[in-house]
Amino acid sequence: MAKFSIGMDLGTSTSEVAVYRNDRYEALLDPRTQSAIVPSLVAVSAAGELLVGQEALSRVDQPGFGVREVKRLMGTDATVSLRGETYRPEEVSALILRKLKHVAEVSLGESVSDVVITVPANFPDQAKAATHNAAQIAGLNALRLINEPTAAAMAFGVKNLEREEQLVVFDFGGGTLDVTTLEMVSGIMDVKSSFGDTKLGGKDFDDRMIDLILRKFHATGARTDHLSDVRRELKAFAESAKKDLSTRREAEISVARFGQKGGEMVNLEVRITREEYEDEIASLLDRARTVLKTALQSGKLRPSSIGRILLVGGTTYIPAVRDLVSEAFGKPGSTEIHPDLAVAYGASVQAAIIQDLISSETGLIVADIAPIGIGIDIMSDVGGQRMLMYEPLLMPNQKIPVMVERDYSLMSADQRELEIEILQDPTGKAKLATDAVKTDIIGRITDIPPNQSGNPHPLKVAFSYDLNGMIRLRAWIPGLDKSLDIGVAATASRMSDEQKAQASDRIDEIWKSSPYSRQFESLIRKGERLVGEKGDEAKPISESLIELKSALAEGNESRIETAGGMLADAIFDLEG
Amino acid sequence: MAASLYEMLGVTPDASPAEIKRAYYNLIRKHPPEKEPERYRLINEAWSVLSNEESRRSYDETSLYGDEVEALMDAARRAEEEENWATAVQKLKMALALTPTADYILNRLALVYAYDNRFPEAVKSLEKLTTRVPTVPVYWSNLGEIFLRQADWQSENGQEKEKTPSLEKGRAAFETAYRLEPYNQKHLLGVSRCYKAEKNYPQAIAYARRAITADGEVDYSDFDTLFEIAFLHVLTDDWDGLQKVVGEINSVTPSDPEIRGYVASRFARLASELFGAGGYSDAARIGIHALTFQDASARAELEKMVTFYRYVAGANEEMGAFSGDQRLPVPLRYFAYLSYMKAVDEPLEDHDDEFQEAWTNFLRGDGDHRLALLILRMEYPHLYWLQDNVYDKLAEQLKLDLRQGPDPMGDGFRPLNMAEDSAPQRTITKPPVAKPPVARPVTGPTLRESRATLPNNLTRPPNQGLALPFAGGVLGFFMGAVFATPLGGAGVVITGIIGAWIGVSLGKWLRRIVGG
Repeated sequence: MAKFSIGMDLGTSTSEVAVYRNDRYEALLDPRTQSAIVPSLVAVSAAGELLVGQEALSRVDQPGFGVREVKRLMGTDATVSLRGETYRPEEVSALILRKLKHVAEVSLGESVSDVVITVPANFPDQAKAATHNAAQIAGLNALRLINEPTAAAMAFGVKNLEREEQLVVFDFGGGTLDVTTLEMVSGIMDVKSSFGDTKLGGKDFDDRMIDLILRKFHATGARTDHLSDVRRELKAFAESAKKDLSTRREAEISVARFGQKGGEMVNLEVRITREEYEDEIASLLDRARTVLKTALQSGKLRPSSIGRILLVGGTTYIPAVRDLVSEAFGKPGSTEIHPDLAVAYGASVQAAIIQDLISSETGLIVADIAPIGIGIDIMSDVGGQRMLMYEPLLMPNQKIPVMVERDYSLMSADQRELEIEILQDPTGKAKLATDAVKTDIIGRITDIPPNQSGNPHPLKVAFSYDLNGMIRLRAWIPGLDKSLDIGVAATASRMSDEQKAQASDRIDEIWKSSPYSRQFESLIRKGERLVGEKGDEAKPISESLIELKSALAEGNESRIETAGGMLADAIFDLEG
Repeated sequence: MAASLYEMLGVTPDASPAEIKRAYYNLIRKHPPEKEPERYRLINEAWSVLSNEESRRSYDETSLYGDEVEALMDAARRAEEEENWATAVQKLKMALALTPTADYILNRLALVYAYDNRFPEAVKSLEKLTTRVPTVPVYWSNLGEIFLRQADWQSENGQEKEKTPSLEKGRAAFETAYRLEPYNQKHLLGVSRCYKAEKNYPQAIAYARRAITADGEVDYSDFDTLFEIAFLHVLTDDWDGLQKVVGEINSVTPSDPEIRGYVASRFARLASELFGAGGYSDAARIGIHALTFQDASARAELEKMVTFYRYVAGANEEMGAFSGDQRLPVPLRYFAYLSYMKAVDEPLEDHDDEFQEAWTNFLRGDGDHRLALLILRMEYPHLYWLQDNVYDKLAEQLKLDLRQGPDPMGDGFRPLNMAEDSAPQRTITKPPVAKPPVARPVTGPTLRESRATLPNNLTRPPNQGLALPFAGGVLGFFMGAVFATPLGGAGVVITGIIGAWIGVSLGKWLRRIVGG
């Protein structure tokens, strides 16, 4: 049995890793920054070094040298470019996961492989598949993907097993807003509903800040035409101004020699008050309010019946967002579980449940749901017209896992082909196929022989939605060797095992260029020189060198750290 | 099977909601998703039904009385097939007593009431249903249908339907169904049908038009609706509108000759119904449009029919002037009148004697037969055509060449794809113009042929005449009972759009003939 369990929150803006051991969870700190919060940034330094997390901050906004918010690209065919090389979003995410793995291994002094990773409640199926692939590329075994708000609630639940209350998780992260309602009863976390806006997050609040800074700067007569991507240049400043306004009434942004005025370079010096910023983000707050209202309606809950509102995600630091929550519920949101770390905590709890570190007899149990409805498009007769209708297979907020089997028929006896597309229905109200959201997960059956009986062939459809939130849909014509299989199969088709292995090698290669392994290079060179000079006297050094090299080859962070320490000690002893 | 969901949760069917909830949470702990996903899934399925008061009640009803209800529904279905409405109502009521929340049974009951013309009960049932579950479009549209049916029934039973408020309610019901299902054209058509029943044709057209685009596209599947619009334009005498709709129908109709043949037959059938109702020029216009869709192979028969309609329509126009034209001897006018009446298929009885007598009287009478024939041919070409074989024969005897007369087909009607210019032809505005040479069939189709050769699948209105030999003539006549009713009466009852005019002028005319 595992001694500890690891959970990872792979976020849009920041990522975190937590461990569950000895009946409690804790966040693990990046050894270099001593912070639990690892910005989800990947960049390459001028020297060609890989930088992940905080170290990447200074380089990430140089076009072609860094990647931000890659999570928004997960599951798409978009690629990003890093120093002239093209990467899939999976590979960039794998680098962030690799960093989290490094953080965990250094902190724990043990190698880490089995983890639970969180995903937004409304993450599309392809994005979940891509996250699964990213874990594999990073050398991790994803025990489970779970919904972020559920994870955050678990972090609360595991500490409050005796409590019986309704709670709401208000998860406002870098990329998405999710409002989840749950009921805690005798150690069981019963998730009731989840509703969100996948296009509303901290990034949008940064964008508004950039708008405001630029408007104020341009109002002074300064121009920024010489900057090809002025918004990108301001991104980091906007983020920090936004953070400043969470605790102060006013933020100052100053960037030396940023604009030009009358042919001369001028400094950007802008002051922004909290009121100004709140006016700027008013429409975003309205959207958040709407989400909250809809979520409570779909959970059939009155605000007064809610015992607790857990604030989760970086965007909940914005005072106006907190006010919005207080207004809606008549009581302030709770930050008793760290808003930045709650999700990672909960992921480690889920891992502990799977790995039996938490007893199923006495510990926390979670009954989770599928937040969005899933269905297919079928042709149907509506008032004498053939119309493409949405056919639900899974309703929003249904308990998972789910398995259904349905009977349909083809449209005519001589139909030769059939196509099924998986559709999403976030609100549960879709009637027409066009009301639903396309997923581009499409399966086809071709070369269907005509049915000699003159009746259309029957068609069976079996649909399942597993605990990872992964979809599988099979359809077949009974009696014929004709079928399709989509969904989880799409995970495999998205990246083949071979592609994943190649990506994995590539990530290993890049990883070796990171300062985390480079830091040993000069040490190794010095050790090798001493072994050449001192011969037998340097035997402890040569032993440590062998150990360190093999640890580096293996990529085992904790062994590297240990062997590196041994080598440094041996050199110190000899020279001392 | 009956209690399986309760068994799955380990509770009895009379368990309280709190007990069920406790059992559910206990079971989840015992069979957590991590350890027993399949068992966990089944527990959740049971929970999702039993945790909701409504779904639990309906599950209880079904599992307790499922078999009985099924048997009752079967019995009700059989009774409906035999149109034994009282029994069907009884069976459905029994089923409802067992499962009061079964919406589909209440809906069924409402329909059976409506079949039985028990409209207040039907409306009450559906109003109850739409109050209980206001989000099911089909219940609203059924309510609308029942109001429509009720209005129909009332008008058949002597009550003016446009005065009853039920059509307004019917529209409201269809409008609600439409709001719930804005892509279903049937609901908009329902509104349109209500307006049509209220004789508010512009609104009926407007709603039918919206129905066409309800599914986002205008295609051949909209044919029935377009056709309905065409008919509504006929009802409003909007010939421009008709022409436009026919154009639309033409553009959505695929080139498949079978489909085009079907469209042609629908127009032909409508023409024939209009003709039967006395709308002769309407019949001619619609018939012309039928030709637009008929391909060459089956065209001849249809053309024959349309030609006939056009002649009768022309004859109808000529009748007013003709009946008072004192240049013509009364027996000839009477003879032509009989021919006209026979052509329009009035309920004639056996009066070939009168026919023969009229013709004989004309031949025997004084006056210039040549002039009379000439006037008839030149000024009343359509009436002439109705008996052209008889007149031609006489003209031949009198050595009279009537070939230079006006073309009775010069009435301006054109099928759509044969129009020389795109400007729609409205009504017969031009008087018949002399146009040599007359391109006329040597032997015009007899009435019987014209009538008997409607294209496939057409049902003619009744009133097929009998062919009787006409003494000395080569024509077959359909004899009717123009004079079967006492002349002092209201004359001949003719239904249809132009019936009123004919009724009045005919009455006068008949009296004068008899008086003369």
